[in-house]
Amino acid sequence: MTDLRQLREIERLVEDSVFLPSPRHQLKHRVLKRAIEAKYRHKLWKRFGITTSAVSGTLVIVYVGFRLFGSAPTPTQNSTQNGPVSVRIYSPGHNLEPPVVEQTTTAAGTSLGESLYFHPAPLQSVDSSSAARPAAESGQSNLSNNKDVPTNP
Amino acid sequence: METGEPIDFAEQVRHCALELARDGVGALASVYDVTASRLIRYASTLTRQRDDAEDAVQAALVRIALRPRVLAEARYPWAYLLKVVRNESLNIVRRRKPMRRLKVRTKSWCEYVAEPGEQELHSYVRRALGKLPPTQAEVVVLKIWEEMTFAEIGEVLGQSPNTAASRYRYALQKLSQHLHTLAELYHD
Repeated sequence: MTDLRQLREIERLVEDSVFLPSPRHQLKHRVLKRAIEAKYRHKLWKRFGITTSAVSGTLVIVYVGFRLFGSAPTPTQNSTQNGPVSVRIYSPGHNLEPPVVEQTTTAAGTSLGESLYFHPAPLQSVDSSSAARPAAESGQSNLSNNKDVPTNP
Repeated sequence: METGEPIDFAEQVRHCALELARDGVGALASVYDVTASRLIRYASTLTRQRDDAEDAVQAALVRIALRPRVLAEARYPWAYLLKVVRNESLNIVRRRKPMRRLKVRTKSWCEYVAEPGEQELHSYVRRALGKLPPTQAEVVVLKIWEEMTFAEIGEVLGQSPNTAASRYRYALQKLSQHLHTLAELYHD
């Protein structure tokens, strides 16, 4: 274990061995040159940053000004013009005519299920006769009318 | 000698820093004249090579020239300057290629900074100092040659004063193993 006196001796020995290295001759010149160059570059970058931020700030202000005070588009009054668009797709094997929806006459204020329940006889007779015939006719007509089907434009 | 008047030296550095903040890059020459030798000496303990130490000092002074106000407003301008040099030195050491780092480690840093025509005893002491780990050697340099307090050393290293003090004690114990007989002969 080293005692305190010994450490003090070492301390003094190191203290007496102090030295100052002399820097190389060109170092000062190099340091000053680099410092001036760095300062110049720093200044250039600073100016570039200021210019860029000024230009971009102006552009943003102009854009916001146009959006706020310029000719803003008026909202359309007739909303049906932009309403939903129905799209029809026709294939060559089918009629161009849209399918006709048969409207069954039912009692006013009642639904279809109720009419079937309360008036079973007349509805059944009508439905069976009208449903059987078109089915047979449609099969024939489809076969016979194939040549009459116009080509898809 | 400059090392005998640490307070005056610190004041001198503060004065130079104020000049640099006021006059710009033109006043960097005076900062260089006052501090260059000591900064190279300190950087050499970390880089263990003279060229790298000079590069570190150059990079540090250029950095200071870009922001002179920071140095002027620092609590201990001299400690702040040493800290900047320390950071640059560590950056250089980190950037070194592994093979070159190995070569440098085999040599003592004192071989690079030793002045010709000096006493053999002193060069032996500096060689022993070069065998210490850089973290301990730098504390010895700052404490004995720069005559800084442990609080100031802690500021330079970014550590607490207690850490600096314990590193200093370890360093002295290691040095005493190398220099024990030499110290007795020297003081007799």
